[in-house]
Amino acid sequence: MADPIHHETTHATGAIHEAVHEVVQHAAEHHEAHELPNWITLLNDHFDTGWTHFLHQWENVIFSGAIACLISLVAIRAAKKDTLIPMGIRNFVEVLFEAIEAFVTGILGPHGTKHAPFLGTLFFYVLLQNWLGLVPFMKSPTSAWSTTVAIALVTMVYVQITGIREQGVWHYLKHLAGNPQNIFGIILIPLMLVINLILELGAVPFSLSLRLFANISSEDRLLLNFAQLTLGSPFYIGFFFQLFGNMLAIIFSLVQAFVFMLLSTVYISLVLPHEDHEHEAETAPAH
Amino acid sequence: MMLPLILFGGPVVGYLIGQYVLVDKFGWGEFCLPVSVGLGFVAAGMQTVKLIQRIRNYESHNKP
Repeated sequence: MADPIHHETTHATGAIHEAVHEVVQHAAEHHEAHELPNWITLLNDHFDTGWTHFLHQWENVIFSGAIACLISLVAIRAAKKDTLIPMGIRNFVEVLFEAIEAFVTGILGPHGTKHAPFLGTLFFYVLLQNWLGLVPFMKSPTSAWSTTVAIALVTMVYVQITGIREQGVWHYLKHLAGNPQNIFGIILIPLMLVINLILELGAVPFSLSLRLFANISSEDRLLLNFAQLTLGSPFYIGFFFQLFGNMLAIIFSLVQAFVFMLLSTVYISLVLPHEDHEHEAETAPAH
Repeated sequence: MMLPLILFGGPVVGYLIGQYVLVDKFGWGEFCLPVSVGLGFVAAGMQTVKLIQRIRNYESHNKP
C-alpha cells in the first residue's frame, strides 16, 4: 500500500523542482542567460500588458529606487531617535558611520570628515544594490551599466565640485593645465588640458562604472550557471557549488562596494590642494 | 585604468592637435605632427610621474 504522506511529499518536491526549472529555463531562454529572472520579468511574461512592459523597462530604476528609499528610511529613523545614549538602530548607524568616517579621514586627513556622508552613502547604496541580486526574485541594479554609469557620473561631478571649492577656480584651472612651472610647462598646456579633461571627465567615470558593472554582472551570470548546474546534477550536488557561489557573491559584492568608495576617496584626494601648491606658497615672496 | 588611459591618450591628443590644428588649420609644416606626438608622449609621461608621486606622498603621510 502506498504511503500517502510520502506521495504528497514527492508531489510537492516535484512541483518545486518544476517551478525552479521553469524559472531557470525562463532565464536561459528570455534573458540570453544573463541572470536569474526577477519578479518584474516574471510579471511581464505572465501578464504581458502595457504596465508590465513599463515596469520591465524601468526595472533597474525601480530596484535602485527601492534601495534609496530603504537607506533614507533607516537614516531618518536613526536621526529621529535623539537620545543621550544611542540605542537600537541609531547605535547601529552610528557605529557604521564612525567606521566610514575613520576610513575617509585616514586617507583625506581631518578635512575628510565633510566628505564622509557622501562616501558613506555611496558605499551603502552600492553594497545594498549588489546584495539585492542574492534575494530570490530580486535583481542587482548594478549589473546594468546604466546604473553604474549614473553613480559614477554623480561621483565625478562631486569630485569636480570639490576640486573647484577646495582649490578655487584659478588653482583648479592650473591643476587642469598641469601646474606649469616653466616655459616647457606652458608649451604643454594645450596637451595637458586635454589629457586632464579626458582623465577627470572620462577615465574616472569610465573606470568606476565599468569595474562595478563587470564584476556584478559576472556574479549574476555565475549564480545563474550554478542554478542550472544544480538542476542538471544528480542528487542536486550542484547545490553546494551554488551555496559556494552565493558566499563568494556576498564577499565580492562587499569588496566591490568598498573598492568603489576607496577609489572615490582617492579621486577626491587627488583634487584637493597638494604639494605643488604648498611648494608655491613656500617659495612665493612674502607680501 | 587611469595610467594606461593617460599613456594612451597623450600621444593620441598630440596627434589630433598636430594634424587637425597645427597642420590643417594653421597650415604649419608636416614636421609639426611628430613633434606634437612626441610632446604628447612627454605630457603623458609627466602626468603619470606626477600621479605616482602624489599617491606615494599620500601613502607616506598616512603611514602610522
